[in-house]
Amino acid sequence: MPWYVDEEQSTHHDSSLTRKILLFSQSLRNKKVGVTIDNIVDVFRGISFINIQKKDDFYYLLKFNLVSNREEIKLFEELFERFWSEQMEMKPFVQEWSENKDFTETEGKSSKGASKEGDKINDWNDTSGKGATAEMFPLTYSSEEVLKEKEFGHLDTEELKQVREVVVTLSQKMARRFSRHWKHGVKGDRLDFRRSIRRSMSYGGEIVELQRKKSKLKPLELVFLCDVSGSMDIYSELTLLFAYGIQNNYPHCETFVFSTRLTRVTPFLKGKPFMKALSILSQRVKDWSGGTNIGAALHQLREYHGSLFRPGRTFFLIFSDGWDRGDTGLIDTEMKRLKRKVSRLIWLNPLKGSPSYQPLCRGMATALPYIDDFLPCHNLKSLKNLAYLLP
Amino acid sequence: MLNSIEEVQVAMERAKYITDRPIATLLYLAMKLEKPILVEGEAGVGKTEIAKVLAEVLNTKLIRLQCYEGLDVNTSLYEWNYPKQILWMKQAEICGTSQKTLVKEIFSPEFLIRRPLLEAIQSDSPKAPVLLIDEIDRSDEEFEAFLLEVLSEFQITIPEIGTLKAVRKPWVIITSNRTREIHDALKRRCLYHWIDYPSFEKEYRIVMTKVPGINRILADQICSFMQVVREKDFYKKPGISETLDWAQALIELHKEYLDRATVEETLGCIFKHFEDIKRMKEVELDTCLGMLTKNNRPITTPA
Repeated sequence: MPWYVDEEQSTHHDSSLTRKILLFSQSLRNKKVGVTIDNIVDVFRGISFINIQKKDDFYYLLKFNLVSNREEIKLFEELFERFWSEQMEMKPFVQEWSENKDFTETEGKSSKGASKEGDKINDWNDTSGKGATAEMFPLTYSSEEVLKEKEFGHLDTEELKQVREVVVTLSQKMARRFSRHWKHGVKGDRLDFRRSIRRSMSYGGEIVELQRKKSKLKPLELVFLCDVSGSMDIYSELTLLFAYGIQNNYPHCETFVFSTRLTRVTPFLKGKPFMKALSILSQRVKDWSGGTNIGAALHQLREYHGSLFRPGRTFFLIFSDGWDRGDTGLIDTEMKRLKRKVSRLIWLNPLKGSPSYQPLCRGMATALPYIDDFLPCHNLKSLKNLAYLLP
Repeated sequence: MLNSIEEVQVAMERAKYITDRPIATLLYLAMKLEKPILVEGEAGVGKTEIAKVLAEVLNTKLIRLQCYEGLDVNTSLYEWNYPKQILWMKQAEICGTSQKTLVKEIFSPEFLIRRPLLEAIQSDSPKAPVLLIDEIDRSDEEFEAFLLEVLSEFQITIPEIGTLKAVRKPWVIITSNRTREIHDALKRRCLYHWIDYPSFEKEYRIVMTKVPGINRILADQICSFMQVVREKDFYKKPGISETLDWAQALIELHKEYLDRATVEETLGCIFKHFEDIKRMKEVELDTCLGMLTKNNRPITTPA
């Protein structure tokens, strides 16, 4: 029996193959691989061009069409093996499929006989693709990990409003990169030939007024890394306010939190009402108040989210007290590498608010040489000063 | 026209591009399904080379669009030839041409400067050209959106002239180094492939094909060394182009085999960052050379 069908004497026009491909695409979709209808149509178009007897060719036909990301490759390979192996059983997939068919509202539905896999899928439904990837690669270093859900008490809207003001001032300061896009008008340092000639047509081809253009200013992109380990516990309210404020008021921003592992929280914060964001955060971030491993967090950030950092374009903002239990050698290497990938590296340290503070603890001392701005940040007031302290 | 995966593979290899089955399948499917290809991978693994060799194999023109920040419609699609337009306007003034004819004249195709995308669409050669859009991750998001439009319709609208439709759909190859994420909509339109660092066998074949006059022992040693180096944690890992540079350099230096001194002298061919060179010299060199003698891989002859 050929490898690709269960039933005897089926050809590749047989509906069983069609059905299997559709089911396979659906399973990929359930895992947040954004397969489009066009992609599936192209798979069917492609079948007539390849020799379906060859498993490899079929494999690549599916892979080239359905995968569009390096991160998805591993997922695809695993699923392909499970799905198209010789003794494959359709049942679990059909079940999985029907359970998750309505994947917009699986949350809240209690799936009775769901497999572990099914649970995982339910878990992923709420996160965006990237968030899921971040969770797929948990750090191995977890000796100090404390898993507990965090309660957030009294954070009122007045404070939130103040933070918003700070962020707006900050973003004005950060908008200082010249973009390569033009602002057209009668003022500017460059001549705009296209518009000048178009305009001259109304004067019968005589160029009467010269049109000009100038570069637009563009805000820098921001990556915000927040320490939520045990030692930062007393500042957690400030952390949340700041993270929420920045994520929702600054145009190009990504937020991550870490203690023993790194979590991308951008999708939990962005566009959500504040209280909703808080409750999602407390459910999703499993290592609030855990130990600290700055080096590992930086490493993971660079390794899996390295494409966020672009020299001359990215502000990298770290909010941490610098107490670290991990490997300082790793902090050194990673800071050195990240420094090269960003325009400016700013470290906000709540301890620096105290006049007698000296950056002596190992983690902070290691990171210090690579920092452009080392600023205090321990309460709302110091946050407000931030905008003035930045050069 | 190439009518099977095997034919693609043979043709590419004849043009000295060592093609494994996935890449041959990719090119074959792209031609049959008439879809653009998006290849991603680390620097120096031969992404751009695919397009060049494909153009050679198909015996057609290669049109290259190098992306950079700020790349816009005027530099990628078309631009009016302003000096020529101004001259023409002055002349029309003397001749007393009416305004209506003047407008018609200076916004005609004669005054149009064709940039790569327009050239690819309006190519008048009997064969479809290969359009290489190189390092798309360097361009801005706005340009991507525009590109998406061009790639889905293969037609371009110039307000003054009208809509120009592709005579023959060009073969499109887009490369990216992943310095930033490409938008999903564009990716989904393409056949996607991630090119990894080559296996020992593949790299060995590439070196033997691309570096004439290299002996087997040296080629074997170079490739084994590279395999070991890529497993280490360097800031920039060397790609195939570094391997080829290094092999060429060793030939020029009349080296027959690798030894410690030679490697140390030529580290600049493999690493392009001071830290990596320093780290290599101080920490990793012994382990890498040690692996080399221990592993002593058998020499595989190209099939």
